[in-house]
Amino acid sequence: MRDRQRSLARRLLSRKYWRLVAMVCCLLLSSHGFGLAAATPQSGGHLVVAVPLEPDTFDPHKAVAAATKEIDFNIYQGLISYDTDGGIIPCLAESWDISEDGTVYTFKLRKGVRFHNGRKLTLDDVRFSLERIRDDATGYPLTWHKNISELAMLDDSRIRITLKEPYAPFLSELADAAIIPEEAVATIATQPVGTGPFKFVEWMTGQHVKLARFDEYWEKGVPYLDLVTFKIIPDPSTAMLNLKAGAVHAIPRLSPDVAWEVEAAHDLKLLQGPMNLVQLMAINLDREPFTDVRLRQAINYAIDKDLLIEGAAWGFGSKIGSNMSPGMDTYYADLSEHYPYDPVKARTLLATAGYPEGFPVTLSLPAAYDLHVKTGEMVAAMLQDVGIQAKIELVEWGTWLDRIYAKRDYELTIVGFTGKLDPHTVLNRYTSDYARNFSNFRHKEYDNLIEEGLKITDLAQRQAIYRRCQEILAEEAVAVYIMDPNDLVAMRNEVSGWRFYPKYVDDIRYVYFEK
Amino acid sequence: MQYLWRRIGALLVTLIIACTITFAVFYIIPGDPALLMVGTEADPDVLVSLRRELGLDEPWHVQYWQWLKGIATGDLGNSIRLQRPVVELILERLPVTLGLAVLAMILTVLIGVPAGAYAAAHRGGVADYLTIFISQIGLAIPHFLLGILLLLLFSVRWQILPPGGFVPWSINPWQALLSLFLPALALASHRIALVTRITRATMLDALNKDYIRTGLSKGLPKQVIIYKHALKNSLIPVVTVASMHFAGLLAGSIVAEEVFALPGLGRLLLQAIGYRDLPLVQGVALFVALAVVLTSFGTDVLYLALDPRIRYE
Repeated sequence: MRDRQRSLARRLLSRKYWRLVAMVCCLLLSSHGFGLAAATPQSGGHLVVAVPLEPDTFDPHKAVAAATKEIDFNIYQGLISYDTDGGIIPCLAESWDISEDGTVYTFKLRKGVRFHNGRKLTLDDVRFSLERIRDDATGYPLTWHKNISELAMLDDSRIRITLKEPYAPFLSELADAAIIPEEAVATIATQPVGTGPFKFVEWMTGQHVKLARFDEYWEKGVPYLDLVTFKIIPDPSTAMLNLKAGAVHAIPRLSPDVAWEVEAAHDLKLLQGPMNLVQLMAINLDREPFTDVRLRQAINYAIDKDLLIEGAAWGFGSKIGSNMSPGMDTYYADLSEHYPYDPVKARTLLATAGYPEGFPVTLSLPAAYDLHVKTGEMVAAMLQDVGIQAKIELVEWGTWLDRIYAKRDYELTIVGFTGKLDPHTVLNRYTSDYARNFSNFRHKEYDNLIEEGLKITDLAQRQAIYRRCQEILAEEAVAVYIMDPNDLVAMRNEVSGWRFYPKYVDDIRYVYFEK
Repeated sequence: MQYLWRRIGALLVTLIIACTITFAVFYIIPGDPALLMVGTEADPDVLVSLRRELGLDEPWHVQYWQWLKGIATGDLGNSIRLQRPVVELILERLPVTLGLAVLAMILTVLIGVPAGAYAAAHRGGVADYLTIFISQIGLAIPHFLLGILLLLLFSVRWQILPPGGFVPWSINPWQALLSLFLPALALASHRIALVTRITRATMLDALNKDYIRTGLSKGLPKQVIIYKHALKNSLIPVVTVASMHFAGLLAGSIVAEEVFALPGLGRLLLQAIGYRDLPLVQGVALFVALAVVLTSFGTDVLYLALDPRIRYE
């Protein structure tokens, strides 16, 4: 096993090396042309983007599927938005004030914004949309609204939102609160109307969603494209064939398994950005013998994360050591070396904890997620190496959510937590009374820190709090935090302007064809 | 007439059994549609209100009764995930699945029957061995693999056919036909091979019959004997097999639809099961059961045309 692992690592490393060489060459070759093209984006054209899944509904206050959000980011907008590194930026609100105690937010509405139906955006629309979200009958995916105590229009351009108690992630969550016109509500689920850079054209179920450039969009100079089609292609090989045939121009969130095909094709390019996803092996802390922290640490020492990144994600990922992606660099604490790969130490810890011969354990893997399954197969072998007899169990996604996630019936499992903009929402899931704390982690200091973090608006203080939280998770070895896989986008050479965000969206605003 | 009533009775029983089984299976397998909709980010309050809105908080017998009542009035309910009427969703997917099934069947019969008959007529010759060899490959190759290979050749290398996707019949019938051609060929490959072999076997059998010898001895041309008398009498088993496959095709082909990105019933059903979208799964199951029963009815009628001695009492 040892030798096999090592030779595998060597093979993978040499492949990574060649890829690096190839990438540098490409950069050198293309930098000149790229510089010219970047200076003058071209207008016009029809972009086709491959997406694997069907949207659920275009009602922005009801949609829950990631497949919908990646598309409707181009249709709907909220009072605020976020930039590529997750920082909050003005959107339909051109500015805002926050009171000293963090409970009163006053937003100033941007002037000259129009809905796709041609009508001017007014403060009444903002009020209507926020009220609709607050209404229990409609607003189920967004829960923060319960914290709003009052919505008041101060004049025709300013709205004041008062919170019952300070809630630091409020602004970042407001990014998802789409502002929609009241007259379109009846048909909004299938005929979306927003203020975004693209307006809705058609949704043919199982086939595609088509958007067209909105000429009266408020941001100057964008978008460049005339038409965008999100083509629903469930099979990754077919998506790749479409890209090669030119029937598709971009595949976001490409599987790393087919990345080599993109690199091998002369008319395609591969873009990489952070995914803001935390891949972890969760441990059920209520199950024996995982109540003993030494055993959880032993498992952490037994796992070679570098090899997992090479072997399961083809090298496209960053090692992590706690429940946060390096993409959130404002709050990120680098703990990736907290448990270096050390099988000898793992065996010693097992022995001191009373399990010199190891113990049997079941590793449940969500079958729908190839990355987690591949990671799990390697993890099982690594655990075997230190004497822990890991048995793999493949679980269908619906069953995973129900049995493992909601009912907490498992020993070990591998899953990915998708990115959020605020550290509170990322780390809150480990508080003792959080309903989906499926690790069963209970820690007084941690709970207090999370509680405190909500009330503080000072950045330095918040940074200190959330960094400490990440340290606690690492010290307590709550899980094996493995990697943040890279977001890979395969594109035809002539397409430019793609931007990566720490959220699951495809921003088509800045995309253009080079010729 | 009595025969017709019996068929309709059988149809109803089949439909009820199919629905009840689907319904029961959904209560046995784990999984919660509301949880599947919101995923790992689920907030428990959100789940409760979502379940209430979807009517999932009702006990099973209430849900089942309401669904049965709906069917009686032609209303199959709404899809949980897509929040649209199930009937509408099925009708939307039907042109693809039906088109694919008919096209695949046409290819199967037009290639399989003549090839099998020709092979039988030239038993032991080069053509016979070649037919057996090719049909062996057709039986062995998985259709998803063949699908990808066809895409690679026709869509990427030669670029003469679209690389998956579907153009609706109403927009451009010719394009619609083109977009269904490769998937139909991939789906048909296995069936062509099967029909070829069955036709060949039953033809060989028929060629040994007395009436063939009689025909030969009274001086009828060989071509007429083989392709008129023998072939017609060999077709009943072929029709049986073909109609079973046609019914299967009407249920939608999950793999071919995934590979060719076609919005057919198979993918609709697969998604619906994945999301535990019970009303949609029920609706599709009901439709498939209906298609199977109607196809077998059609087959019986076809038997009459092929063999006038057959009577249904």
